[in-house]
Amino acid sequence: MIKRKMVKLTASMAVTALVMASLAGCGNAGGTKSSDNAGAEVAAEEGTDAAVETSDAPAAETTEDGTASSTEDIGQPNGGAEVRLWHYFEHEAAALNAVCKQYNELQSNIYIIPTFISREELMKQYTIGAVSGELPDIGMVDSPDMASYISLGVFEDITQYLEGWEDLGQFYEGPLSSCKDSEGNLYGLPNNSNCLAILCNMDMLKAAGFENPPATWAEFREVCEATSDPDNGVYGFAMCCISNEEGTFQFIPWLYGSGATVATVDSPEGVSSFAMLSELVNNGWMSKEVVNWGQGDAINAWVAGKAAMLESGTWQIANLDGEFKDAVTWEYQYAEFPASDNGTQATVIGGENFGVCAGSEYTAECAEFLKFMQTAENNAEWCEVAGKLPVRADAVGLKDFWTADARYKVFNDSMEFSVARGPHESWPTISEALYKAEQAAILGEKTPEEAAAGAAETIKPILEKVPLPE
Amino acid sequence: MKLSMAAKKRREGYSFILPGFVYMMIVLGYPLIYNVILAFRDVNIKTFKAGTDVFVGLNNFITLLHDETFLLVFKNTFVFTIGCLVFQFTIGFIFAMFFSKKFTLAGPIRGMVLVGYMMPMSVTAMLGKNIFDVSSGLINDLLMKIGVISAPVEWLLNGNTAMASVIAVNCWVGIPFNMLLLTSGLTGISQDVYESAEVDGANSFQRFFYITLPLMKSAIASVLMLGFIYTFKAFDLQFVMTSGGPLNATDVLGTYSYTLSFTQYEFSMGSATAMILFCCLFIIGLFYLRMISKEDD
Amino acid sequence: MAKREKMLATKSGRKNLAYCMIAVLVAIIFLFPIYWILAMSFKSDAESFGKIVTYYPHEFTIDPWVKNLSDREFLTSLKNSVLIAVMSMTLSMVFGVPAAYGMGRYRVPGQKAFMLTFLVTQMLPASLMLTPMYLIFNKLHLLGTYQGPALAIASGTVPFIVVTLRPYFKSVPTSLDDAARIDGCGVFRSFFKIMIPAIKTGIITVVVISFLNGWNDLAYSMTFNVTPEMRPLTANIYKFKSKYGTKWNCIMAYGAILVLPVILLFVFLQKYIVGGLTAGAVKE
Repeated sequence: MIKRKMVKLTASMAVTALVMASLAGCGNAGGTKSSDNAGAEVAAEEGTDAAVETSDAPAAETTEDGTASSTEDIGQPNGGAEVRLWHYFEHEAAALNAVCKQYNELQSNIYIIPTFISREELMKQYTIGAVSGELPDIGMVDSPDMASYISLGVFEDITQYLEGWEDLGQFYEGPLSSCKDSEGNLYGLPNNSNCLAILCNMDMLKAAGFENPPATWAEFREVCEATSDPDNGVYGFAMCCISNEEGTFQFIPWLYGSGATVATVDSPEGVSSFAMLSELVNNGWMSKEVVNWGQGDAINAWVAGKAAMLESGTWQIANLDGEFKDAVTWEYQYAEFPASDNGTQATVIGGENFGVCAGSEYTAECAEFLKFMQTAENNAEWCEVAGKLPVRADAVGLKDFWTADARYKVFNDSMEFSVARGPHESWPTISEALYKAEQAAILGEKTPEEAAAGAAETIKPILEKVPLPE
Repeated sequence: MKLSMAAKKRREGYSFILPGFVYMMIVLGYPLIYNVILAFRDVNIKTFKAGTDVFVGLNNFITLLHDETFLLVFKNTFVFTIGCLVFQFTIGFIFAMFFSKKFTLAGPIRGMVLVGYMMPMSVTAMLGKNIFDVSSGLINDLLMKIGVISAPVEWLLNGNTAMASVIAVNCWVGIPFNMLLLTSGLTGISQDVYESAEVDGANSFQRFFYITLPLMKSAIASVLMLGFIYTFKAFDLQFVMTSGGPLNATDVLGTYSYTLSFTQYEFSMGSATAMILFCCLFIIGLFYLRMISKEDD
Repeated sequence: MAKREKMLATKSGRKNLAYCMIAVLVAIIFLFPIYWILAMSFKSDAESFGKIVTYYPHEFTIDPWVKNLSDREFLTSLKNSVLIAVMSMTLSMVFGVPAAYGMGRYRVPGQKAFMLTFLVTQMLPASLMLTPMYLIFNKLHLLGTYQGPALAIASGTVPFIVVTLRPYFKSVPTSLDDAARIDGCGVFRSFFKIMIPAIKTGIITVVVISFLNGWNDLAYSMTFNVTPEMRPLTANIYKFKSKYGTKWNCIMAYGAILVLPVILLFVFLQKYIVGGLTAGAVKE
């Protein structure tokens, strides 16, 4: 009985499958037709839909809404072609709008419209855009990711527009190299640099008997031990170990500080960097929750008085002067990264690049804008407003805040021993291996040795094919 | 005359059924077939863009079976599903027995507790994240107040406890649902059967094991199978509450497939993972369908 | 007979009270999370991430609600949620209700296969469909639109409607539409004028659940629409995870607004929802 029923059932399923297959046989034609059908079905809603679209913005672009800028911010239309610029600057958005406004008023070939999209979404947009072709004209990108987007074809080769530009020689090699492919073609220009240092709550350090920030890993451990009070949720140190590029960014200073590199992550030095971080957690000097913290969460903890020291970036000086001004009631001081037991000191370079996206009809005009944005004067100006470090040597002399302001000076001096991530077209994969290993060590899922070995297992084959630039 | 009448009827019937059926074939059937095709090719962001993807046979599946993370995720999916089923079924059954008794508030409250089931899972998951938080979470505070634990437990930072937390939150949604389904089975049992058993001197245990369970057999089986299907395909809960972490400890096939396709852009690997998810569901689904069609006849 | 029942009732009077009390306890446990969302949403910033867990708002404030409701991004997400839910609901009804009628009242060749298709597709998870649909929608330029998620969500709701409404249509006496035909009503007119009103209960049930299916969706909307400007509330609460860090009061106010329509629908239409869930899940 049952068997017969099963046969019947299987048969009817086969029929269903056949119908499905014959439909699928129409392949794309069927698919396209479906969209027409769907379009007709959806037509019922078209009324509401259209109403919403028109009430929104005249430029009915999907991404434009609350975050597009008003003409007040970016200047009246200058008659030039509309050019879209995507970025993920939050605190710096006003400063960026000002630059665009300036350029919009200066010329009338193109009219630049900047739009904010959060970092994570922007990364997705580029990847999707690489396939669907829906890209902005100008795009901002985190420097270590640029190489992989270049290899995906997100950015346009603009070497020809930059070749004769004598200013090019003024750009620092590190940031500029992140805009190049393996053959040395340029796909954009670096916009700014930043790096990491240690931000200390000096009230807490002094209360624990330390007059100065730690200069070595040994001293760093002492300060951590003396300032931690896990029972009350206060820790010696806070950083970001989240499972994305931010986690890798904050891990690099420890890895390179130990004397290891990405290529030698499983060396004894590399293992010692994982060991250092797991020691912090195991001794109750750092909260395990750092694995869920982005850099914003980490500084929130520091501002809430829950951490004595923080791994902090250049751009956060602007936050300390802005939104956190009232909350930070204590004396604080920035310090260079402490030197490891073997005397090595390191930090990491971050920064953003701007490139012209593939498929833009105004490549030449956009390249002109990039050049304008990165003149020595504009670069220096921009860095002062947005709290960044310049990317060209001749911009440094134009302002003095990075040497006059003790906080910026720490970062400026740290650039001496800072390391770049990549550029490497497989950087996202390398980065994932690093932050996963870091998390495993911190959570105690793996010993430092196992964590380092695990990362090396992924990284080494990649670097064997295409090594990291020296 | 009669024949054309039947033909006319048939045409009418099709004109009602076919639009819906064709819709399903196009919007769901076609992608389903396409998913199978994807699983046997090497489509990723680069090959998709260049149109250079090729047929790779079972390679994607072989890669998955050699991928430590995938094996963990596969195991997690079963641990999660079975963990949820055990708790939500037993507790749901107890509640169903209770709420099938006739008392004033039985109806209203039975319905009321279902609100958790209708809530968006992303809100439930955020709530789970909040109450299982180490320092500011309700669970730790409660447990410490009643003295079960002396120090806060790092629920979501440790693999096993994170899985337990996710199961607990899912049970909050699953118990009322199981209860609802089982209650409708229980109320179907005629009260007379119990009464005559009582007259015969059967105690409540005997009544449960000799009357309730046998009569509920098909209802229980269908609740368990449906429960398996609904739990096995979980996505929103893990995605929002733990993002599959810490270190994939709460990642399930659904979320892992998403990660492969939409953070690593290895579409074929994502499809292959989804195929494996589908096959597991299909096996259980076959049993379920067989049962339904048996009852239908 | 009546006398016996009355006697039973008085005998179980005390039992009734005891049962009711246990039931209330169960209700409290299961509704507590809803209370928790609301309680958190009225706490001040300091209280919500303070080290001490408070069980009710000590410093009652409506700031988190104001913050959300006056945020343009929030309002955009709200609009998206409503649009996606209404569109997917309409699509599902347009295709599902006639199909349910056809399945319930006609006998056509291949019916068994149709039914099987609806039963199978009802069980298919979104996570299975995400990758192929994404790539297909990409070609059809349906990514970053409201139509994409709406089409996908409806593909899960249509079979639900068919399975749920079929028995309703079946139960309508044949004499009713026969009478209508004799009065000269066409098939389609009798469908709209006679059948639909005849199963009003069933229709309300599927309308409500279809709407909630769209309103609650996360997977499709989040995958097909990447910009926050096109995403519904369910997908953006996830985003707030990092943006707000530990500002639980704001997140919970956001969640409360998202849950509110569900609770309202539930309070007013409970019997329809409960009925629909049972019918849709267990056979017929």
